[in-house]
Amino acid sequence: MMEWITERPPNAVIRPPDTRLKWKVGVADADGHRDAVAAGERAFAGCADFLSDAATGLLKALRDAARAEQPDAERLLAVSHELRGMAGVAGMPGVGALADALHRYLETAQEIGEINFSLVRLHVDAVAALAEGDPALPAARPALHALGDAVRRALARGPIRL
Amino acid sequence: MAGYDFSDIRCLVVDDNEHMRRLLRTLLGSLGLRNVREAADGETGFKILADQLFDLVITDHAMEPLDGIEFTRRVRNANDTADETVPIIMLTGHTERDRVIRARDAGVTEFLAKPLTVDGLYRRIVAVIEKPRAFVQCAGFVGPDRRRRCEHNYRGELRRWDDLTDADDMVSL
Repeated sequence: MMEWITERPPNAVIRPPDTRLKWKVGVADADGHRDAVAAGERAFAGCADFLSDAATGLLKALRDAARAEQPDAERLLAVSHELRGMAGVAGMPGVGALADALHRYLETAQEIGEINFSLVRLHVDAVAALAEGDPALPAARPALHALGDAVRRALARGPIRL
Repeated sequence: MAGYDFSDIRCLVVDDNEHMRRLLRTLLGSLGLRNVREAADGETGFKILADQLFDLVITDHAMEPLDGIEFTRRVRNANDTADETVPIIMLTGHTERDRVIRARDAGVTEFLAKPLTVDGLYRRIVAVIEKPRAFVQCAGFVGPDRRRRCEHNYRGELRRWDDLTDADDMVSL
C-alpha cells in the first residue's frame, strides 16, 4: 500500500494516483485496443441466445405480474427494471425503452400512492407486442400515449385521472 | 501490436442479475481476465472484499438489500475492507444527474450506462488503468479525486496531490 504523502488537519488525507494496475497489465497500442474490443464483440455475439432467452423470460414474468389478480407493485418494479437493462443488451432497444417508461411510471406513481394497474397491463401488452413484432402494435399506441400523459402528471405531482 | 495482459488481474463482479453476471464474466474473459469472482448482491460483495484483494470491482447500481451506492460507500469507509481504494466501475441504468452525483460522492471511480456495450466496458477499464486518480479521504468524502477538469484560471487554495507536485504547470479541478 502506498504511503500517505500529505496530511491536512483535521481529517484530509490524499494519496497519489495508484499505478499498480498499469504496471500489472503493461501497455497497449491502438491495434491492441482494437483487437481487445473485437474479441469482446465476438464474445458478446456468442451470448445472443441466452440474452434473448433471458429477456423473453423477463417479459413473461412482467406479463404474469401485470395480469395477477392483485398486482404487486414491487414485483412489477423489479421485473421492469431488469427488463430495461436486459432488453438493451439483448438487441431489443425498443422493448428496453418501453420497460424504462413503465419503470419510471411505477416509481413515480408508487411515490404518490396511486397506480393505475389497468394502464400498466395495457402498457405491458404493448411491450410484449413490440418484442414479438406483433403487427397490432399500432393499436397499442393510445395506451402508450396515455401512459406518457400519466407520467407527466405524476411528475408534476398532480392527480392521475385516466 | 500490443495489448494489455489482464491474466493477473483479479476482478469482482457484483450484480443481482445472473444473466448480467454471466455476460460480464464472458466479456471479461474474452479480454483475457482469468480471475473473475462474482457476488449476487452488495452485502456478499462486501464480505468478499473484506477477505481478498482485487484490482477492479464492477458493480450494478440497483440491488437489494445493499445497492451499488451503499456498497461503494461501505467499501470506501469500512475499516475491515482489504483495499478501500480499489477502483469501482458502476453499471447503471440510472443516468439522471442527481443519481450520478450521489454515486460519485459515494466514491465510484467510473460509470458505465446501460445498455452494456463492449466498447463502453473496455473504455472504462482503460480509464481506470491509464488515468488513475489521487485518493482523497476527508470529512464527508472518501474516494477517488472528484475533480476531472483542468482549470488553468483557478485561483483558490491548492489542496491536491498534483497541485503540490505540479502546481506551476496545471491545477486540476
